[in-house]
Amino acid sequence: MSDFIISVENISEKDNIDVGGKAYSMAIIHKNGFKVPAFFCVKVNAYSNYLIESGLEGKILLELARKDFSKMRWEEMWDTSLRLKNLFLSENIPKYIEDEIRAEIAGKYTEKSLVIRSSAPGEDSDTTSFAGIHESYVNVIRIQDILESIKLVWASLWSDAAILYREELNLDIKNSTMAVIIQELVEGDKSGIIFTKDPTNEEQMVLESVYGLNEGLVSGDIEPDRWILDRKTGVILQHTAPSTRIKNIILKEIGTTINELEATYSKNEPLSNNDIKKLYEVSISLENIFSCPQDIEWTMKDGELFLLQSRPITTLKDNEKQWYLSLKRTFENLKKLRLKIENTLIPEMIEDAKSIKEEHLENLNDSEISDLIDYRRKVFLKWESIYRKDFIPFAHGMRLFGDVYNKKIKPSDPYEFMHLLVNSNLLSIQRNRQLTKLATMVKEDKDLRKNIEKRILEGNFEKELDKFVELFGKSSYVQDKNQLLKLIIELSEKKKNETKNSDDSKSMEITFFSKFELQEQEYASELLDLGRASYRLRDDDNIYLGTIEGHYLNSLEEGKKRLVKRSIQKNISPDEIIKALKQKDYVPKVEEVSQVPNFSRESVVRQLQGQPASQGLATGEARVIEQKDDLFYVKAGDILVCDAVEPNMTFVVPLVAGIVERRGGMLIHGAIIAREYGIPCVTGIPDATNIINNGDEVTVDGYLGIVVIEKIE
Amino acid sequence: MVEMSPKGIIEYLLNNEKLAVLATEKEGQPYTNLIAFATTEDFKKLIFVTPRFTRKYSNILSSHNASIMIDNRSNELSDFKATKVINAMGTIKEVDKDPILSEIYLSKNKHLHDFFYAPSSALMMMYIEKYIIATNFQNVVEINIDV
Repeated sequence: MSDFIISVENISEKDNIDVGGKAYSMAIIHKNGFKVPAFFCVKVNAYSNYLIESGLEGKILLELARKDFSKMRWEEMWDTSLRLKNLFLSENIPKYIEDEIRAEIAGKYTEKSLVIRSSAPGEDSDTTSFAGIHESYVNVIRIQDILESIKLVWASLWSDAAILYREELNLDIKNSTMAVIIQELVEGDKSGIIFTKDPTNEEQMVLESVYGLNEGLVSGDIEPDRWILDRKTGVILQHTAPSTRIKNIILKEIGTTINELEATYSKNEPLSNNDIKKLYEVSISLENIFSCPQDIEWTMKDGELFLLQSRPITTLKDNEKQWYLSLKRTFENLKKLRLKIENTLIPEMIEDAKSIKEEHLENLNDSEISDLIDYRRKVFLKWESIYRKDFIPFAHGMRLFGDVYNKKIKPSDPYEFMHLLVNSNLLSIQRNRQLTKLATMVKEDKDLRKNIEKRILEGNFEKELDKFVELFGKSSYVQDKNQLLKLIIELSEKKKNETKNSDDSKSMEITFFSKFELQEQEYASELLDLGRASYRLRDDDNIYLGTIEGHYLNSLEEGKKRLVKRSIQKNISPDEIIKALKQKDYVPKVEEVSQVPNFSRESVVRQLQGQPASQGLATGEARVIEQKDDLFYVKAGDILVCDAVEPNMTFVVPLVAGIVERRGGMLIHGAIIAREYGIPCVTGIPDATNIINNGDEVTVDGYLGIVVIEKIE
Repeated sequence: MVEMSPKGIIEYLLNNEKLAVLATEKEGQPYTNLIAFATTEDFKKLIFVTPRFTRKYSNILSSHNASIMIDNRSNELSDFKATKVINAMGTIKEVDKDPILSEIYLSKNKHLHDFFYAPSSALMMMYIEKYIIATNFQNVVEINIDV
């Protein structure tokens, strides 16, 4: 008798809670005479015992105590989930549970390809059925990999998607738990999904199919054939073939891969009319068994149908949450996205930035300024939209690399993988190097400094300065030469602050590659390359976007100045500014300015907890950035306190001793640049810029993620 | 419940309670806060971890004398009869995070592994001179510890 595992044949109604929704549904399907791949289930008590004995329960609680979920940004959820996943990877399954799993595998599943899937209690009920919340691992063979995958499935109880849907899932350390299905993998020659009721038309059923395994269809990498059936009769109402049928997903030694389909397959749709009839009949039966419309996954091997999953159809209505879920891309998808970004989008963006030529704004009349603002805004909004649609999802390349790195290396620091991605010659670092060069010239030449203070520019310095402006242009932060010169003088007074040289990154790289089999080396190399591109572009795209935004804001500012001369208030929208500049008699609508509530002065905050984004410890005077010009008051050794460090403002980072940021996350620009310079940084401090005042003595503890504030009266 | 000896109460509370109240003092101003503690086998020393940039750490630097209260109250009326309280009094100093002490601390507080090893946190040890044990609301016993 096993305490922690149960095979499909033995699952009965009383086990529903112990085996979770997915395993219980599969057991019902099996009992009703349908074929399901053989499986056993690691029950929820295994998860509970593992949590208590490893001390993970307390560790998870501490991690969750860092910040209220409701105040977390998407990236913070991913960070929390990454740290939790790493905790699971670093703790072993108790031996008595492992022994039961090993015995079951040895008895029935030795040398077989397996799928390790989640089965959470309450999951796949008619109220909480969400696809893509928890993880599955396909084609796992070795016992060590099976045990590892079980831990990863447990960890996915705390995936970023689960945190996002925490309310719908009632996610909670005390009550949330997870069973795991260990299932034989059936290598179907065709697979697919069925929605027994089309969410957009209740009279219809939707059937999709691909050659090979289902993974490509679910991830969106392989376009399927699609049939619409009449729900009452099963008659085919419509068939839509994919644009091409040239690829499918097949097994490789470990995991799956995309394969080129042979020509004979690509000409024919994967399902015959008989197949469709069979699938229709099974769908109706399952709907009757479960008494509600079903979302079914299936595969066929040599004409035999296997049911892989059946759960109630629920639709996700929240657009923002769906957008977030769409950020998670597969390796293949990211490779395609990279080509699009590097070969098309970035060159187009640079061209657009160049097309916004330097204009002597003062020489333009009001109508011309209006046209210019309108044009520049259109260009900016176009790129802002592309940024959200393509550039942000590409940041997932870093995350994907981090996931694989942590799984292979199991480092104590879940962000160790970042060392392998740095030194990618970020544009912002190149820009800072150029600034340092100018500052060094000032430092070494007292006369030059005096001249600059009098705004006399000449000789080599002027040439280098012009080169800087030409290379990096104006940005949304640096809009005039005087500000730039002030910054250069401040930098010249600072001790040299170079980026960290990661000497050990080469040996880390060797260790990383050594964890892959010979036939996986190419994949590992491509993955590292993708991670580096994602890291570099995450910063660079912002620099380009910042240049475009800078030009737009510059023209907008000129427009506002003209209107002030006409006694028109400043707080009007860009649309109104454009209109008012065009029509001399037009009186623009004044926007209501929302009052930012004052932070209570009755209580004084002394210590705050955020995320330890860059290790180190520093104490200094706070410089709070509330508007762009504040950046130019930053002094060497200050603690930079801001809402969000954007790539366009990172030129002050070499000056500061530490960074406190309201926006949370470990892969955000502030964190990335702080690690590049080895400066302590704590992110995710709500209200940072309201709580901390200029001049407060602030200590940034980048090891523990703590900020200590000594108020200056 | 079986009547416990004062030494039994010390052993019981030190082994079973996870959190304690630490009282420190600076320039005549007492200051208390919660700590996660562990104790040596002979119960003569208590250890806990604190970030260095905290008031308690700064207080301890200026005055080593401190007190730690450990109790098993449950916030019920029955506490007046059932709660057992010990006060450990002595001096506190920062000590190295050596393997023996890390084993003592982390076997009781597994989840504080990262907190323990953070370079910005300090391991503190109280050298106990005296325990004061209070039971049944007003019964108080003192036990001096031989150093």
